[in-house]
Amino acid sequence: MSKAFLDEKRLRQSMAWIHTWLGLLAGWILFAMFLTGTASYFRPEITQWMQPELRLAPVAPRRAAETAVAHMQATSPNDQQWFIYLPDDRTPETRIFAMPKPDPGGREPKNRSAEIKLDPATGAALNARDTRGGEHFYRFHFQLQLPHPWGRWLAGLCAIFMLAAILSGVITHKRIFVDFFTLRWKKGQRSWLDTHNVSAVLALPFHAMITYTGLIALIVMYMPWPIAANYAKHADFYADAYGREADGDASGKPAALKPIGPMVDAASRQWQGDRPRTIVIRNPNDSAATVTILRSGADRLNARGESITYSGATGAKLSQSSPPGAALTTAGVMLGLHLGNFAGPVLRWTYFLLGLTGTAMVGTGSLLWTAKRRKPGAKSFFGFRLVERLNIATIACLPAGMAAFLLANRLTPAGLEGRAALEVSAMFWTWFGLAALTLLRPVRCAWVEGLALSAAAFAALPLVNMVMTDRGLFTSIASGDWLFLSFDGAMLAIAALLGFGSWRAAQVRVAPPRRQRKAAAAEFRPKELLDVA
Amino acid sequence: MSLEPGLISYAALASLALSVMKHRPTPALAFMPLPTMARVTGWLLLAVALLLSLWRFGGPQGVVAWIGQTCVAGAVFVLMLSWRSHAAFTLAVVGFFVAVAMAFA
Amino acid sequence: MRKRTLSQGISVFGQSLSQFFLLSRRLWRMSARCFTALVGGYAAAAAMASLLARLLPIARVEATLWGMILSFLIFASLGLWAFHERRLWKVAKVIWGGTLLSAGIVMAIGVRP
Repeated sequence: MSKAFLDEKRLRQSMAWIHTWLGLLAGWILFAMFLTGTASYFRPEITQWMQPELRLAPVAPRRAAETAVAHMQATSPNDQQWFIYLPDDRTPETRIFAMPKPDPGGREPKNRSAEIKLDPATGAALNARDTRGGEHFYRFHFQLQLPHPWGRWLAGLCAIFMLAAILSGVITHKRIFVDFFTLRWKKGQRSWLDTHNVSAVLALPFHAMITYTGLIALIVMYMPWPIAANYAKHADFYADAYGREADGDASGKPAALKPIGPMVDAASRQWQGDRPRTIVIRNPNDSAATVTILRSGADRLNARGESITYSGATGAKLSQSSPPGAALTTAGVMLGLHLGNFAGPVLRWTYFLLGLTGTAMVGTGSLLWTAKRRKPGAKSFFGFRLVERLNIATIACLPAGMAAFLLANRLTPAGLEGRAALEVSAMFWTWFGLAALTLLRPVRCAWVEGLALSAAAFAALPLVNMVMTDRGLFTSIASGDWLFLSFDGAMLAIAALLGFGSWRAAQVRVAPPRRQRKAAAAEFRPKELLDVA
Repeated sequence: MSLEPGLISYAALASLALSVMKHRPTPALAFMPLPTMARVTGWLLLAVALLLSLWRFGGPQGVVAWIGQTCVAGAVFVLMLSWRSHAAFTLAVVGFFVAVAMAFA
Repeated sequence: MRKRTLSQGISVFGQSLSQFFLLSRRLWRMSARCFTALVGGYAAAAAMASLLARLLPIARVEATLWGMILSFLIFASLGLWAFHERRLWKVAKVIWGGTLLSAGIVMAIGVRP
């Protein structure tokens, strides 16, 4: 055997080893990130579904901006920053994230106060039930419900593990082209391997893209060091990259914020009528206040649209973003690819299906690990039992948690104080509670019952929706309410998928006695299976 | 609703599958091209799907759409192939003609 | 139960001790490798990316971003290599040495004027 052949074999082996460990360590968190992230492609739609009473008419950007600013001036005029998302074709309300001034003691400001949602026509709070909406899944998928910055760091760690897993997976996969279409059912471990390979390889461009671009999305947090090598002042980098004035600290001299309407109009004019998407106001009511208006890049791949910055105190134009160079465009396009905001309906559903494929890739990886090490009759080692239980807790129980979040929205009274937090709690109580309950059942029953409960939870959604709101299935069909109709449809499809999983889990044969198994095992020796250790 | 690139990619992948001895269905299909022919047709159809996608969605978005729809088509094809292989290939032919019809509509 | 002689007792003790020592030597080596791959890999990627950003003869913001964008690829590759290369000292040499060298050069030349 040639040295090259042996080298290649050793490379495949080491890559298989590390691929397995990376998958084991990060697999469950990655499953949760993929599932909630995939749901986030319909973030505005989920939010709309969770506020069924809301019927907002479209409003011009200028008016929405004016009412938003008026609201913030009335409630918290001395914040450090207002981040205003103007309504668009998928989100009818104005969304505002306000950052209060840091404590005079120099402590870090409380990160991101709760999202403020306003009626764009009047600036009043929404006349609908309070809810986090799709924002909950979105935030969870990169913050993991942990306090800042730990959540993002953990998510980032899992993301780099994912990147390494993709690279090692491709290196270790021996017959990647021949096996392209291979999917064998009912062959136990081999079937899991095939499913893992197929879901990974067929959508490999998507998985690689989503992982790398995910890291890029929070790149300034994960990799700020090159900035320090080129810029004496960190803030100058932002000025160069995003074309706004280096973030000034508040000067301390108060100055009333100039009306926002004329600025919005001026920006629109400069962009030949294109609408603004977001407005960022820094240090409002200070003489150093800045108003940055960002262009809607909804049809463009580059997520970072152009921006123009005005002085808040005088209304004069201060700066605008220059045409981005290659690196800036690359970073912007990468972010755009991850967010998928440019996507029309067809492409959005494609993203969604590919995201589910990615979730399947991660899930089948963990299932493959246990399938390979299952020895019926023999006492399983602790690690095996741990992995098996964690698989159930994640794959069977997280979907139930997500359904519980949506169910809680329909089942808690619309006027209840703190109902938004209650919905979020419902998700975690259901997820972890169900996971704990599955510990009491033998493994196979836990799979069957866990998946069945998740399926039931999703199937219940259209029913509960019909009972608790006036936008039930039949009303939606009658009135052509596409959003609610497709929502119901999607919930039923997910329920069917989970139900199918539960049914298949119940079909798993108990292993035949040892003599027969040994003979069967001798038949398919790992020669073809070199793929994963 | 621009699904034509996806449908043509589906047909392309089905054709590529026919070029691999392992995936040629037994009993044979009504029309079974030679492996080389199948491979050439497969790559050609992928190119057609790309061009169609570029035409429908414009430059960069077209590339994204092509990759995305091809991936989904692949997943659907593999699932069909493992479940009912003859239906998988029939679907490829049907899908191809539907796509052509939609493209010219 | 047979009574053990003193010499037998000592040899049994010695065997358990050496077994324990070997086990923890393996554990020590694997921990060192993991630490080098994860922490060292990140440090090396950050340092090399910073060096690249500092030296690329293009616009400042462009060079910075290219460094940042490529850093993840460097991190993942170094991390994988750390588990492929058999010799631990070589892994440590390349990763930690690379970190110190790159960071050293960047700090020596200073921030871009």
